[in-house]
Amino acid sequence: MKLLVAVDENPYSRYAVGQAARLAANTWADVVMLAVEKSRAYLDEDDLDQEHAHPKTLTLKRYLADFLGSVGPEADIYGPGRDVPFGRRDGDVLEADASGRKGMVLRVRSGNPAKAIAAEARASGSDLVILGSSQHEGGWGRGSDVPGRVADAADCPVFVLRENVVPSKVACCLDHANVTQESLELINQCVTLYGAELEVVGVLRRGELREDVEAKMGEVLGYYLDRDVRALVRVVGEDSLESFIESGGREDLMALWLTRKSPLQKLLPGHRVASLVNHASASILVLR
Amino acid sequence: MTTSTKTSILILDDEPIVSKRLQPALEKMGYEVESFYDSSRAMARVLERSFDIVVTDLKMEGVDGMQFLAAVKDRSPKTEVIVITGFATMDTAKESMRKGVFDFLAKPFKLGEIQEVIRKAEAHVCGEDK
Amino acid sequence: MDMLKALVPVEMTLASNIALRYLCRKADQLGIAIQPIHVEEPDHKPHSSETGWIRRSWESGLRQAGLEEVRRILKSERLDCFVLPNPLVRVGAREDELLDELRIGGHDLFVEGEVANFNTGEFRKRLKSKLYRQMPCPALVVRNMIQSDRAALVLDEKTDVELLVNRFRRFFRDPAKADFDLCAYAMDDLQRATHPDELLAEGRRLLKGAGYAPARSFSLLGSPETAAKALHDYGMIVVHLDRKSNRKTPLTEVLGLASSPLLLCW
Repeated sequence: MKLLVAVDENPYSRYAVGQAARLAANTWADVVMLAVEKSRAYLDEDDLDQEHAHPKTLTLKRYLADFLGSVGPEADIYGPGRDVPFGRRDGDVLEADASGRKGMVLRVRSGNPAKAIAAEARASGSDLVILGSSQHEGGWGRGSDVPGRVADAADCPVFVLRENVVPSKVACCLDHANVTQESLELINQCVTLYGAELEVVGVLRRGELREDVEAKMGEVLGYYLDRDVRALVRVVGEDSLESFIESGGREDLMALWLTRKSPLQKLLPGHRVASLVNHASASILVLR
Repeated sequence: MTTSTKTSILILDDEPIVSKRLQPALEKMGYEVESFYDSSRAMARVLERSFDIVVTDLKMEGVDGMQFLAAVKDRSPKTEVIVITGFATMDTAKESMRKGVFDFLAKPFKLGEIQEVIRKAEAHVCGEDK
Repeated sequence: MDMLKALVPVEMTLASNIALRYLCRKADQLGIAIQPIHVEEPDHKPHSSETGWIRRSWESGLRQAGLEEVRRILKSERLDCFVLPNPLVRVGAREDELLDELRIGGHDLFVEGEVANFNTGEFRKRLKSKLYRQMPCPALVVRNMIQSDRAALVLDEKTDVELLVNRFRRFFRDPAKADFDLCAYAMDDLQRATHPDELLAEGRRLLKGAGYAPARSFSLLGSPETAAKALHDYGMIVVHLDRKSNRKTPLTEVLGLASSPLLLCW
C-alpha cells in the first residue's frame, strides 16, 4: 500500500501524521510525505540556504521525526531516520529519500495546494491520500477549502481526518453495486486500525433499495460478520443523504464512493462534496 | 529446488479475485504459478512439493495464515514467503517478520507493487542458490 | 419446558436474511421453534371471470412457487436451529395474510427483519400499520446481528410495567439465565408524571417478585439520538408500547434510531 500524507503547519497536520504512522505501523505501507509551498519565482535561491529558501523542508523533517516516533520500535523499516538532504527532482519538486526497507520520501511541491496534492497522488501512484482538517472547516490557510477540493480532484481515495478524533464507527454509504475490491480493502484496514464497527448504509433511490445494492449490502455484511467484525446495516433516502453525512458525529468516519458509476456523484456535485468534506464533524473517506 | 527451470510460486487467498488478477500477470512474467482458495488444499500441496515463493493471505477460514506460513518455512526453509493481508495489525506484521517472511504487504496494493516484491524475492532465491 | 412458536416471514431480502440468522442464534436461549411463512403477492387480482378450477389452479401454481422459494432460501441459509418442517405458504396481500395466520395459528411471537432507516418516520409507519396495530402477540423486529446476549428492558412514563414484566418473563423464562439491564428513559427528569427513579423502583419490585434481578438498573436521560447511542450494544431492546396512541414519543424515536433488535410488547 502506498500512502501520501499531505501536511501544512497546523496542528491537525501533526495529528494526521500520527494517524498515518499508526496505519503505516500496521500495514508497512510505502509513504510519501508532501508539503506545498507558494510559488516564489522572485526568490534567487543562490542567495539563500535551502532551509531559508524552502522552509517546508524543515517542516517535513520535523514531521518525519514525529512519524518515526509514532511508528515506534519498528520504525527502522523506514530507514535510520538520519538527516537526508533535499535535491531537485522533475523540475519544481524537491525530494529527500529517507527510505529503508519500506519507502519514506519527503517532497515539496509548489503552487495551488489542492492541485499539487492531486498531482503528487497521481505521480506516486498512491493508494490513499491522508490529510488533516480542522473541525467544521477545511483549514489549510484562511478561507481555504483544500481537503474538500483534494477529495473532489484526486483519482485515488482520500482520507480527511478531524483532529483528536479516533473513529469508533465507519459508515459506508453504498449507493451502487460496483464497489471495487480495493475500496473494500481500504475499509478493512480502517476498521482494523480503529477497532471500529462498520455500518453498511444503503442509499434508497425514490424510496426503494435497488436489488443490486441490497445484494451488495448483504454480501459486504456477510463478509465482515464471517470475519468477526461487528457490522450493521441501515438505509437512507437519497434526499436525506446530505443530512445523514452531516449528522455523523466526531467519532464517525463516513465513507463515500465517488466514481463515475456512483449515483452519489450525480446527487452531490463536486462543490457539494467539497463543502461536505470541509464542514462535516465526522472524518471522511472518499473512495473511488 | 524444483525440476522446472521456471521460478515456482504458490498463491493462497480465500478471496478468488486476488488469484484471478495475480496468476495471469505472474504467468505472463514467466513464472510457474499455482493458486489455491482453500488453505487445507494449499497445505497438502506444500507438503507434496516445495515452491520458490509463496504468497499467502493471513485471515482465512480453516488453517490460519500464520500456521500455513510456519508450515511452509518448516517444510522448505529456502522458500521466500510474502504475506498479504486485508486486516493488517502491528502484531501480525511483527509476527510475520519473526517467522522470517520476505515481505509484508497490506491490501489494497497495485499489481505492480506485488510484482516488484516478487521480483526481489526471486533475486533473493537465485542469490541463495548460487 | 414448552417451546414457543415464532411466525417468521421468509423472503428473498436482506432484512429477512438477517432476521433468520439472528433468530436462529437466539432460538435456543429463548426456547423458540421457527415457523416459516411465505406470502406470494399476486401481480394482479384475479378477474371475476376466473372462477372454479381456473382460479384454484392459478393459486395452487403461486403456492407451489412460493413453497419452492422458501425451501430454497431455508436451504441456502443452512440454519442450525429448530425450524418447523412445513413452511406455510399463502397467496394474497402480505399484511392481511400474516395477520390472519397470527390470529388463527396460536403463535407466541411474530419475528421479521427490518433494515433501519435514517428517517425514523418509516418505523412509525410500521407501528401504525394494520399488522402491528392488530397482531395478537409481541413482535420482534430484527435490524442487525448483534452478538451480545444482554437485553435492555426499557421503561418510559407510558410503560405498563406490569404487562412488560409479564411478557419479558414469557421469553426469558429462566431467571438465572436472563441477562438484562433495566433502564428508565426520559428526555429529562423534570415534571414527569412518573419520575424515572419511580419507574425503576416499580420495575425492580415486580421483577424481584418473579425472581429476576437486572445486572444493572439506570435512568437514561437525553435526546433520542443520545439514548439510541447508549443502548447501542444491547443484543435486544424490550419495550411496551401503547398501540391505542398514534403519538410520536421520545421512546418511539429511540426505537426508530436503534440498531439492536426490538422486542415490542403490547
